[in-house]
Amino acid sequence: MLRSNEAPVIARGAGLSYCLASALEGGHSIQSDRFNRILAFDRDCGLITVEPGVTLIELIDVCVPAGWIPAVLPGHPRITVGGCIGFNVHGKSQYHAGNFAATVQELSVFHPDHGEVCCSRERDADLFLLTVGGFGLTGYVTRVALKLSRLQGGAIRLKRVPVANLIAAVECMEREAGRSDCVYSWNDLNRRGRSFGAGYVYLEQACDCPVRGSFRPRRLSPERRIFGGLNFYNRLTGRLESRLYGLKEHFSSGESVLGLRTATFPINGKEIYFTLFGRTGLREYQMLVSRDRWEEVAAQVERLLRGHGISATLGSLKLFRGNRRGLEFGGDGICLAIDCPANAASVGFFEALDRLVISVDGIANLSKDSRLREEVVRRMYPGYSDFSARLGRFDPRRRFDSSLRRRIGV
Amino acid sequence: MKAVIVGASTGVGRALALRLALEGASLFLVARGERDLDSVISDLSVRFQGEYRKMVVDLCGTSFDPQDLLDAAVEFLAEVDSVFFPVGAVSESDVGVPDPGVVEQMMTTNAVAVLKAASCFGEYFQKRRQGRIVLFSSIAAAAPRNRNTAYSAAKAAIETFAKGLRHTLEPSGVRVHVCVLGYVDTAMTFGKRLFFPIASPVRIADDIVRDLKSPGGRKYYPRFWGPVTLILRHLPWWFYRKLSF
Repeated sequence: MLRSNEAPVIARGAGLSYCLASALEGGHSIQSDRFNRILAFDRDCGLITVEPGVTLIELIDVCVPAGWIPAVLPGHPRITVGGCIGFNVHGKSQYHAGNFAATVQELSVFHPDHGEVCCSRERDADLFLLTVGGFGLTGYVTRVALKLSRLQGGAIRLKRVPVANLIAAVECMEREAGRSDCVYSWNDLNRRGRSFGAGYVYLEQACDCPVRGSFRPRRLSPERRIFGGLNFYNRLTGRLESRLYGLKEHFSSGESVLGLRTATFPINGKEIYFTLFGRTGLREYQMLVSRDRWEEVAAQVERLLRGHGISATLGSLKLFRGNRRGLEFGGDGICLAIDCPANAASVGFFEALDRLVISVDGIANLSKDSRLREEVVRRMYPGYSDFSARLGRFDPRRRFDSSLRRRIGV
Repeated sequence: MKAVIVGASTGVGRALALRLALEGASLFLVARGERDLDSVISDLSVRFQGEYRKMVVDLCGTSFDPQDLLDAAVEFLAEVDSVFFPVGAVSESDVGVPDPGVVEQMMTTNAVAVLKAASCFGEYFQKRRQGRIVLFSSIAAAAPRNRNTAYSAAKAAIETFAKGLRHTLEPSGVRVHVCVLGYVDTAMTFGKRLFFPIASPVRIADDIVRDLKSPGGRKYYPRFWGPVTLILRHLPWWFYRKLSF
C-alpha cells in the first residue's frame, strides 16, 4: 500500500493522545491494532520483542507472570507500544526511570523510500533517535525490542500525604522521591491564596501484599456520550468536582494496597471523567518548568486561572529528571498538568500559559495540547530546527504526515 | 486437541489459533503470508509454549495439493483430530455481473480449494472413525444480491457440500460443523457503517470453540443472524428485489 499509494500516511495506535497525531486530511491512517503480536520473549534477561500495536495491558499480561515489567508505563492500559515510542512518553516513574526511550533497545521502521531499517543506539543511531519521539513521522514501526525491569512486587502500597498547596506539594515530593518508586500528586487548582493547589501527594512502593478484586481494562472512546453530549463542567461544577474528589481522598485511608494493574493505570475506570466533558471536550496543558522558577510559575498559574475564569477539573504534579532532546517532553524540573473544558475561555488561558512557559524556558507537552502552533513550539523547543531539518532530510517527500505535523510545521 | 487451521494468520483464523492454544492444543497453521504466519507462531509460542508449525500455501495456486497439506499436518502432529477452514476472500470486482475471472477466483478461494481439502481430511477421519471438520460460510449465502454474487454462491456451495459430507461421515463418528458468520470485525468490514452490529473475531472464536462439543451442524455467529437470514430467505421476490444492502 505504501509503495503503490502516494497519499501521505500515518500510523495509528489506540488514538489516545489529545492532539490528533494519528490522523490527517487527504491521507491515510494505518490502524495498528492487529499488529499486536509478541515476537520473542527472553524470560531470563527480560528482553521482549513486540509489534507496535501491542497494548500496555497485553504487554503486562505477558511480562508480569514471568517476573518482569516495563519501567515506564503511561496511565491507560490500551495505549500501544507504538504510541509510547511516537511521543517517547513518560509515566509516574519518570523521576527514576526516565521516558519510554530508556526501555527501547532496538526497533525496525519501514519507510517506502528506505525499506525496512533496523536501528538502535549503536546502529543507524540517527534514525533511532529520530523515530523515538518522532511522532510516527519517520515511517511505520514494525518491531520493537524492549528491555524490561525486574518486578519488585505484585502489588503497590499507596500512601496519601495531604499537602496545603502547590508549593508544599513539590517540597513533599522532593523529600519523598528517593524513598518511593513513584511520586505524583493531585491538586485542587480552584482553591485560592495559601490553599491554591491543596491536595494530596501519592507515594507508591512495590510490595507483595495480597490484593482483592480484579482488573478489567476499559475503553476510552470520544464517541461515548451521555445526555446528547452535554458538558457537565462549568465554573461551578468544575469546582464542585474538585471539592468532591478532595473529600473522597480525605475520607480514604492514608495507606492502601492496590493491585499492580489498578495502580499502574489510574485512568482506567475513570472514563466518566472524560465523558462528562461532552461534545465540548477537554483541553490539557502539561508544562515542564525548571525547579528554580517553580514558585514564580505557581503564582502566575493561579493568577491566570482566576483572570480567565477557568475552573480546572484536574491539577497534577510530577518530578522530572533527564535531558531535553528534540521535541520530546523531557528534562529536569517540575511537571504540572491542568485540565479544563475546551471552551472559549480556555483558548486565551492556554495562550497565556504558552507565554508564561516560554518566559521561564519551559516546555509544553505536544501530545496533550491540540492547539500548539509552530511559532510557539519553535520558541519553546531549542531542538525544533534540528529535528525539523533531520526529518526533512529523511522524509523529503513527506510520505508520513499528520495533522500534528502540519500544525507544528516540522 | 491436534488441529489444523487453514487461514490462520488473520481474523477468525488467528483468533481460533489463540483460543485453541489457550486450551493446550497443538496446532498446524496454514496461510498464504509467511511473515504473518511466523508472527502468529512466535506470538503463540511466547504466550503458551505449545507446539506449533506453519505451512505456507496459496489455495488459489496451481500447485496446491490438499494431500500435501494433510501429509505435512500428520507428519507434525502425528495425528489430526480437527481441521478448521476460516478462509474467505471478497473482491471489489465482484459487483453486478461479475467477470468470469472473478467468478473463478471467488469460487476457487472460497469453495473449490476448501472443499477439496475438506474431502481429503474427510477421508482421513473416516478411516480413523473420528475427527472434526469445521467449515465457514457467510450470511451472504442466505441473501445474495448485486454485490458479492460469486462470493455468496461460493459460500452457499460450502453449506450444501457440508450437509452432504455430514450425512456421509456421521455414521463414522466424524463431526461436520458449518459456522455461518455475520459481520465480523476484519478487513472485509473495516470502516463500514453497517446496519447490524459487528462482532469481534475473538468473541466468534470463543463461541465456536464452545460449540465444538456439539455433534455438528450449522450455527450462526452471532446467533441473532439465524432469525435475520430466515426472514431474508423467505422474502417474496417482488419485495426482495427492491432491497439495497
